[in-house]
Amino acid sequence: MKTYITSSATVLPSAKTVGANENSAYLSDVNYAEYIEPKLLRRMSKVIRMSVAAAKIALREAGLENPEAILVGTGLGCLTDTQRFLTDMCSAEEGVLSPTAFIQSTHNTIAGQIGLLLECNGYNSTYSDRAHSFEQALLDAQLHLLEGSDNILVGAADETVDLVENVVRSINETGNSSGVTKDYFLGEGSSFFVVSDKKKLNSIELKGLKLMPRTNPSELQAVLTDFLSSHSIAPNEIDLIILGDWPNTGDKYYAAFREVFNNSIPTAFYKKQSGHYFTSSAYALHLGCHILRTQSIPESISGTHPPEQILQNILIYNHYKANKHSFCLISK
Amino acid sequence: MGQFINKLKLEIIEALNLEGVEPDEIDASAPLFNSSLGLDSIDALELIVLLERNYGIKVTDPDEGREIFHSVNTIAEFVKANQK
Amino acid sequence: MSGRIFITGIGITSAIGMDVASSLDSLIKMRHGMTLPTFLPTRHADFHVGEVKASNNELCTILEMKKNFPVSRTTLLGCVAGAEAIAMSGIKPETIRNELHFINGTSVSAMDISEKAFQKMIGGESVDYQRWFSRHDCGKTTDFISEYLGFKNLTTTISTACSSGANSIMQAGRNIKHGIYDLALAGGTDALSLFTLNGFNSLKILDKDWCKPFDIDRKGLNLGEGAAYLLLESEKSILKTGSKPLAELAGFGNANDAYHQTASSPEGIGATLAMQKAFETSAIKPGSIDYINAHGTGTENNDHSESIAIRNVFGDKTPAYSSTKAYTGHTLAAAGALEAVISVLAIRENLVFPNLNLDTPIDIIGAPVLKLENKAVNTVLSNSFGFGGNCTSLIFRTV
Repeated sequence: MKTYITSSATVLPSAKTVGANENSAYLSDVNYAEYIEPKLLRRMSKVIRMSVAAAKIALREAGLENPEAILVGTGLGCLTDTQRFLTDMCSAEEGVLSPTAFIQSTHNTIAGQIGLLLECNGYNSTYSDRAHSFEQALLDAQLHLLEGSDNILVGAADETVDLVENVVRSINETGNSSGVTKDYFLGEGSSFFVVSDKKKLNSIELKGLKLMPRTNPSELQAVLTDFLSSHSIAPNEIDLIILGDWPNTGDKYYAAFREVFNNSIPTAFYKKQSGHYFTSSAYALHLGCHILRTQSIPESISGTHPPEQILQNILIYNHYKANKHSFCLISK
Repeated sequence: MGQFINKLKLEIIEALNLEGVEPDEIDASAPLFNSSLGLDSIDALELIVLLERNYGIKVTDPDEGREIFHSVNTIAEFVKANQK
Repeated sequence: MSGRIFITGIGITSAIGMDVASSLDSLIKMRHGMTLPTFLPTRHADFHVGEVKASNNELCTILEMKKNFPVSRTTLLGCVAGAEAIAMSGIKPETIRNELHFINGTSVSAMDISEKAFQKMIGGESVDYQRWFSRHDCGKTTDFISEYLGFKNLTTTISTACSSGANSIMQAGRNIKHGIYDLALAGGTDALSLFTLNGFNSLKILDKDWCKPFDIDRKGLNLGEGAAYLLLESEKSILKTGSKPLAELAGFGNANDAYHQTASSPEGIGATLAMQKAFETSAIKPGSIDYINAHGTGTENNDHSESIAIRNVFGDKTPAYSSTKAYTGHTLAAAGALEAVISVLAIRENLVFPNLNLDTPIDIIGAPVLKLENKAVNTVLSNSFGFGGNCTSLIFRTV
């Protein structure tokens, strides 16, 4: 059974772009009223609005009214409403409290609201496991295809609030700062995909998805080598690697990963656009699909050696603090 | 009363997050629920919170709540009659 | 290999007992665990809750855990129940540390810690963010439990509110059935927190007094806390580990109500679909069900909607049913897992556990079981419904 990405869409308010002629893979400025009626929009925080819009665009591009299942990943959930309810509760000392922020704060509100809007009674689930949140949802999508379902809507989103900025800054300043450089910034965004086991006109094949728990660099290289050979692809057949790193961090895992490939392999750093958030690897996948479709790499994320040849195979690698490693291989 | 009705409308718009709705778009005598505003049971709870926070009035009986929240006018009358 | 999913270990901790033996004893003796709060530092001291009868310090002692940072109660409860499930299987943890997939459901995660820090911040105190917030998220709760139990393989964390635990078990089941992996520890954990107590109170769906599931005069739910896990193995795995099946996970189904964010549809659409899907995956017919462990929270909305859904599926032949939430309270993400363990106990012991605190039943599907019943229990249906319209049904069968 093969897995195809029929369509994808991203809303990325935090996007940083450089260069006037960017071939934008994402939307940063969305008129949400086009996608969501006012009586529902009024309660929706950023993370839900972004997700409903991205989900609807992905479905529209796939020519679908309704998916058979809705799967969402989110690392930190609905933070705006969590913070709002907490603030309210602490200030009022558990007195009279507004219920809206509470009901909007549960992690599965994103998937639930999409299901509600689409009137979709299909399977609906939410994964929340740091930098594997999206990947767990994507694995579940593949399992659905194996079970005979089709047209699965799968996506991921995270938003940031002041408190998170403060927490992360504080943690980074106390020295737990692998992967942090002067380029580092926190982002937020939502990416959604329609996946199918049937190839369509603009489909991109999701050839392989491999998750690993905590590991060491040499074990990572061994697994990567196995992963590539299990998909009958040699390292020199990978046309572009997209990394969840920033340039020149000295991260030993990204270094070990790159050693498997030629020094001159074209490399892109998606977080230069998206910033860091737990589910930003969903943007990386959307970006990879966009690059394969348009055969062009945005200036702002390209790190080294822009390619001259046709782009056929892209490999995405991400990890979080030496844990939650993922390889994602896509092909045109 | 007119000024109070207007103030109440603004408070309702804020409490229920009715983005883009202006006070003069809400007919003070028309039913709030089962209307184009699309209010639901959560909004009824928010109105109970509004009454308690802004006017110190506790509504504990949901049946009573249904009558009070019928329209902006009925809310205004209830507040005037019960405000501490 | 058959794709069958065997349960070879169970672990549970809740208001009715720290482990399986004490929980079963409480269930049999109709001894509920609902009290006024003793550990939860809430102003709502007159609300009945289902607390695990141990402080965090006592839990740390049981777990032989010494940490120099505050450890979430959700995590502690998960460690206790997870350890019991593994121990019951008789499998040595170090022999499965690279094979076992840990699938955990949680909605509170470390909010019990974060809200304390938040209170300090609101009060103007400065807070060490690393100490208080770096373990807040659901994924970290799962990682912490996994590391404590000695596992090195992948984890999965599901957060779908009140159906999380059931969805974790279903997810493990689907993966084992299709040969993706062979061995999983699946379930859920949630501790009581001010966030959830005040949140449910703001929705006005809590009963201050002891809850009355399926009673015509029910006023709402009582919150509880707890953790429960099932050790699930494929046939291939059992041949290797030599463990003895306690029961089988025979079917599962998830559907979305798509009606309202928090309320269930009056026609019980999502619940009906979830039960129907569970039957479809199991090749078991409704007529074979000996006992339904209902979601039965005690809210006006759920108990009505679930009754309609049961009638939709079973017609006028409703099997024996009960809600056990008057024993434990509604343990949110742990509920589906707690009730999975209770379902397995029903099968093992041939007992139907009663629906406590009911005076007058709703007149839709007849009364639930009110006293402990001794009868052959070969198949059990367990329901869990969460916010966001998330409905999950699991079917368990004797082996």
